[in-house]
Amino acid sequence: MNQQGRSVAKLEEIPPGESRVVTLEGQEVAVFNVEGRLYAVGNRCPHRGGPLSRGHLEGTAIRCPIHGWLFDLESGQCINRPQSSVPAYSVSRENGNLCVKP
Amino acid sequence: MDLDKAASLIESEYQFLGSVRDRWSLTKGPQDMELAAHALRVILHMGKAGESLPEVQALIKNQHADGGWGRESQETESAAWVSAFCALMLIRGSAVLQHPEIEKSVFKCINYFLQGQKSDGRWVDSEWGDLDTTSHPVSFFNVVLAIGTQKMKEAVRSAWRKGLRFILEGQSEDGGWYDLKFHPSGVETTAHLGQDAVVASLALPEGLPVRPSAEKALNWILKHQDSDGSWDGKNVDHTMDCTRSALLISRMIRAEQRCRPALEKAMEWIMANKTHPNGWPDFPGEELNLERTCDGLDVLLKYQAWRQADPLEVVRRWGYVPGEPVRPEPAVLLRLGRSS
Repeated sequence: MNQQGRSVAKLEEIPPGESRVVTLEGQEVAVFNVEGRLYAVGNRCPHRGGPLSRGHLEGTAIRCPIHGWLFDLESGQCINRPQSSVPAYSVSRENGNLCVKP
Repeated sequence: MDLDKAASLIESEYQFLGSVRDRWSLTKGPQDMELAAHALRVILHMGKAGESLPEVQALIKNQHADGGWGRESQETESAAWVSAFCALMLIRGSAVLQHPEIEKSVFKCINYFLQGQKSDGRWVDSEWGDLDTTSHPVSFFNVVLAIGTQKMKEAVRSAWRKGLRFILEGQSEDGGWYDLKFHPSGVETTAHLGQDAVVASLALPEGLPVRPSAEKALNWILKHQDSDGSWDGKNVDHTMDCTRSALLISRMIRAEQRCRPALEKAMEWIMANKTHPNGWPDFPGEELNLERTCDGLDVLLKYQAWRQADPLEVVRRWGYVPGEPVRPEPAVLLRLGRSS
């Protein structure tokens, strides 16, 4: 891992509107490309463990596909149940690679 | 789907569930209550009264003084959604085991829900949408009205009507229930409400006129099935929800023949997307999820009932047979008597 974080994928592997699950320090992380902007949050919903990578994008929020908890991709904060959240990671691009940092 | 294949899968999946008892049984230590209730539902559907006994006793042991349960067995605060799920299993266990200790615990559940109902008929739980949350106590009250004692029935009748009315008024013209906060697409909410609250009321002699609502819900569910047989983008949980709901509604409004191609396709998809050698995932290709595995067994058991000639088999498996006496096995009663 360098200062930018760990390289987890090639940029072209996650086209706009899509997501990919990577593992970072033993944790599942969901990386999203929202119209060219990249976001990374913990993949498992704190409610019942639903995979957020399979959720529905709503602007810059992701809705858990199981029971509908909605998370802001920037902060990881749950929007419809504010007392909950998922970890949010910083994402950067380096030489065509995506780097994720806790 | 071939019924022999269904029976063989039920047997092997049930054995698997038994082999991982440490991960869901309240008799083994603290558990996720939703998972424990999912597993107990399977045991009850399997007709395993002897196996359900220790689980029902553990459920009672974990019940709070207010009559509810926490999301985790060690949590001290009760939550409506999971409490309703546990209450449903308790009253069905009570019908099988018929013991005063269980009956007393059912009354505590009833009081919990009578205390928690809002003036417009809804129940709330911060983790779930109000429509979904309300459907579960209504479903519990449905079963109370179907198989509870006279005293239980009198206690819930008025609250049940208010809750059911809240649900009926929340249905959209197109037949779906949309929860803008949690489920804007409506898939899971419509499946839950269709099977848990609305159609079950058809089995009750004192029910509100719910048949048009049930028909609209069934049509909505069928219309939203994907061409591969699944629902909501290959979502295993929602596909199982929609399948169970359509099985029950179609049987109760005698629309089995019309629905059979769609339901067979759904069952094929569910069977094709198991994890191997056992269980089901949240999405195809993902790892096994125990809660989904319980749902998978539940779907198989309900499909099996749906294929029986007697139309009441389906409602029996959902627990809604008004006035149906259940004869406990003498050995089970003996064990319960010794333990209390």
